[in-house]
Amino acid sequence: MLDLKNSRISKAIFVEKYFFPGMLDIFKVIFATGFIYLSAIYFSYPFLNSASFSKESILGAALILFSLWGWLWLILCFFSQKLKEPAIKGSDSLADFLDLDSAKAIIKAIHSKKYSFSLSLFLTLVEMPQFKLAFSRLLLSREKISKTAQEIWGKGEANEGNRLEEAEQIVMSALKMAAAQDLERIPASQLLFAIMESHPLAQKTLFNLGVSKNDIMETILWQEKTLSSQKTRKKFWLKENLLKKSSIGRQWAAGHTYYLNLYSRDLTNFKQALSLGILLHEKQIKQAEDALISSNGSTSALLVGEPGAGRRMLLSNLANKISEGRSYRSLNFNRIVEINMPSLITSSQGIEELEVILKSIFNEAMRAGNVILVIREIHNYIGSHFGARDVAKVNISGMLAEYVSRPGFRLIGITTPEGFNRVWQQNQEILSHFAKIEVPPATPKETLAILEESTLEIERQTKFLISFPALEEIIELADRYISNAPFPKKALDVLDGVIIYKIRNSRRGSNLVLKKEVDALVSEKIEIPVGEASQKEKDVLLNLEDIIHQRLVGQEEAVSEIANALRRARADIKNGKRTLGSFLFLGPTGVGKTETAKCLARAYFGSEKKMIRLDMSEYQEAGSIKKLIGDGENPGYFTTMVREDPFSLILLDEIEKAHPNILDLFLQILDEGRSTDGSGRIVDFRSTIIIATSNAGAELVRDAVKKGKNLSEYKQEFIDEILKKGLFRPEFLNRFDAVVLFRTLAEEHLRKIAQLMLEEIKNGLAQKEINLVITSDLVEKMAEIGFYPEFGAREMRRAIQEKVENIIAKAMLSGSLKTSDTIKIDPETFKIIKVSKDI
Amino acid sequence: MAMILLFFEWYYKEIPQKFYKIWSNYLWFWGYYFSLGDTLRTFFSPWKRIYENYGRGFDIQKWLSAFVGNLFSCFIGMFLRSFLIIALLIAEILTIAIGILFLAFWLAFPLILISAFIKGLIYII
Repeated sequence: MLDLKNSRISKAIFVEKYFFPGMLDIFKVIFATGFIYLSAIYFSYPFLNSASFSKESILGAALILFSLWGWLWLILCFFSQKLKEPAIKGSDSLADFLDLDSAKAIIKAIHSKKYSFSLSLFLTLVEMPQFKLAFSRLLLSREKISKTAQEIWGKGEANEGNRLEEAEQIVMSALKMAAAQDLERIPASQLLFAIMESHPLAQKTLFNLGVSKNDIMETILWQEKTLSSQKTRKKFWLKENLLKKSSIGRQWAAGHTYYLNLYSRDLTNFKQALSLGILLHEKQIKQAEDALISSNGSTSALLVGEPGAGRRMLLSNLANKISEGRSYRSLNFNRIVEINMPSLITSSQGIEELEVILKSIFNEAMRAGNVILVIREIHNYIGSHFGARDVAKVNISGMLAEYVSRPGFRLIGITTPEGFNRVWQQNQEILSHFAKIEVPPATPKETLAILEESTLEIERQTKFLISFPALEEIIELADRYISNAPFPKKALDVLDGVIIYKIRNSRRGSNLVLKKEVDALVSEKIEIPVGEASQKEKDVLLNLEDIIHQRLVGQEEAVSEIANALRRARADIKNGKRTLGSFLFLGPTGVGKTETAKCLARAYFGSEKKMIRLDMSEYQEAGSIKKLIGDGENPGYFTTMVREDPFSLILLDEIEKAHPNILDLFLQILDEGRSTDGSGRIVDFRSTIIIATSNAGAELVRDAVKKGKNLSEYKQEFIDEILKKGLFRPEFLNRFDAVVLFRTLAEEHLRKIAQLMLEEIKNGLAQKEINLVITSDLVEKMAEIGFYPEFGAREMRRAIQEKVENIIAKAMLSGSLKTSDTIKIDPETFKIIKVSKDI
Repeated sequence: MAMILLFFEWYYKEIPQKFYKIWSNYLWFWGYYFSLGDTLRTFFSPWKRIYENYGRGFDIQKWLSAFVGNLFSCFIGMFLRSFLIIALLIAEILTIAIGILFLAFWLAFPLILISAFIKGLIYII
């Protein structure tokens, strides 16, 4: 039963209603000022010439004001510390769990004459000042929310009988939600969440506003967390805050470290505690602590993770934990010191000197007894086989081997998965002394928390307000389109980029950072449009058939099939976990399969250079997979290309010739949109278009065309036929978005192709200011010479090269062709005829 | 009436309890700040682990030199650590004194306010 009248919070409501704490606060200030003023007069009384009041009465008034101020101060403290937060212990009344704001909102909604209980509660909560910032971040004004809610709820019957029951239900579900978050009381935010969770009209309101319940919850919780951590930080007397201060004398019993101090950075002095307490890599921190106190002879750890996966954050969290005495007793208050290897290498003259200094550093660290060493990118200094990317030709593996097994030598090495595979696995002897700790990239959820943390700092510096949809878009786009760094780095990079973009473009605009600005920046960065399709891109997609046909003759069915598949992909109808599009082009040679791929690359990615072309006949051996994806030592050609430019069209020529193992690799890529390279890194294919071509079964297509069959109708029959012949496995064919048949070219197609090819030559000559006139006779003749249906247009290109390009080239070299000449070619003799009079 | 009782409960019970917590935090903090545990544990240890080796065999001269050196190192360590302990004692005594004064003031504060009011009235009248 929700008994608000007798609840413990009712006293605070009573005081607020009848004593106006806000007003009392003003009086308190007036009394304090009066007291100070009168005291000043009292003490300067001997220096004042004329005074209308006696010294005693001034003192008396001052004392009375002091007394009044003191009482008001006590009463207000009592109100805010005791009445507003009454003890909950031992209470079994539901109403006792409400905080003051929640209780007031519930009372107001129960007594509302204008609206139904739920609407009144919703409106009251939405209007609360503490949610203003959160709603602004979601680009929602409170007026807009209220208006939409009123429209959705309608006028709502004020049903008196049910109000209390409704209130009870809401409070009950809010209490459950609060308990799930370890909250003692029900704050207004939990009431709001409860009503959003349980009331269909509230959900409809959110839907109409285009915002999700989760977004509202995340934004409000983010703000509450920030406020509560600020509040905790202000309480300087708390043990956790006192521990943040460094202590005196703790290092006096530890050895002096001269060389170490010279070439290092003490991480324990850089307290970078994340104020929201993001618990990233907790498990790994624990593993590192365990490794450092291990009793099995070696106390070193190796952090293996991609640069940007949060290795530095892990170290600084570990350093904080140790410097605040929250770790194991034998680790607490030790120093975590990073050796500055590059500086050490550059400042020492020769390898001998370097070894001497490094040895001194290691000895000092051991003698000091309180030092944990850190070497960043340690793979650069290990092993005798150096890869091309090593920064320094220094090998400290011998020295390391000597020290790591000694008790008391504690080292944290930081390396990458690639470095680990390349170097460490070949030095098993040293590796056995390290505990390997894998540092995975942050998850999108953890990254959001990290972005939220950085956002506050950026907002403080720039006075921008970063909207929540912008943050979500950063995560979404970074996840989807940026594959050269892991989370959280790639998201933080985009955030930084967006801020710079905003500063560059904010001369006139508002200070709100929006989702569209993230889209614009990412589009600029990766050179393909993301977010809502721009008008230009929409035009391209809608007219894709025409654009392709500007360069490609015939193949209407094929082109329309491809265009439809791409439009589906761009409109996000498709599962975003796969490639943008995947096609298998089947048909005889020279009919435009490669040309179509080129046209697509140009239309969709903006350039033919965005095409990665693999001749699959080079991958007929099982071992050739290494060439594609690399192994531990060498990066793969294919995976490197895709990682460097994930927005590419991948053209797999003559796919049927590849080894089955390689086909399996592509099976996985087509299925999941990602794959793993030889050194274990994920390669993302979700922004690629994959086109495999094959002329397997070409004679079947040729026969069908000869018999005048409709290709789209014939397609299924054809597929059945090639499956029967075992040219492809069914599961392979099924993975493609579309299997596209290319027909053999007829003579009229070849005429158009001849025209197109001659026009290409004409355009090339026009740049040299030579005008080539293309006559219909010449086109006819070329179509006749180049007509070999079994070779498609390939023979045509050869014929044009031979008959036209060669003679023009000769004429240009011999000097008989000059700028501003106008020429045509005799279709019979293939001689150049100059047609302008100044020949 | 209930409210007045609640006020007294808050004023004379809850606030002193909270104050005691803060007070004990500070009493503990000085121990942490001056590294009491480590200082006591290593009171007789050499300063910064500066330690001369006695070497192999027995060479009276070398032995004496190392002995004197190490004794000196320990002495410096003890000397500086005793300063630390003295500073810690001063800080603790001050904290206790300030705490007692504050507590006394807090307990008497309502009486002070009442007497200030009465005294003020007397002065005016």
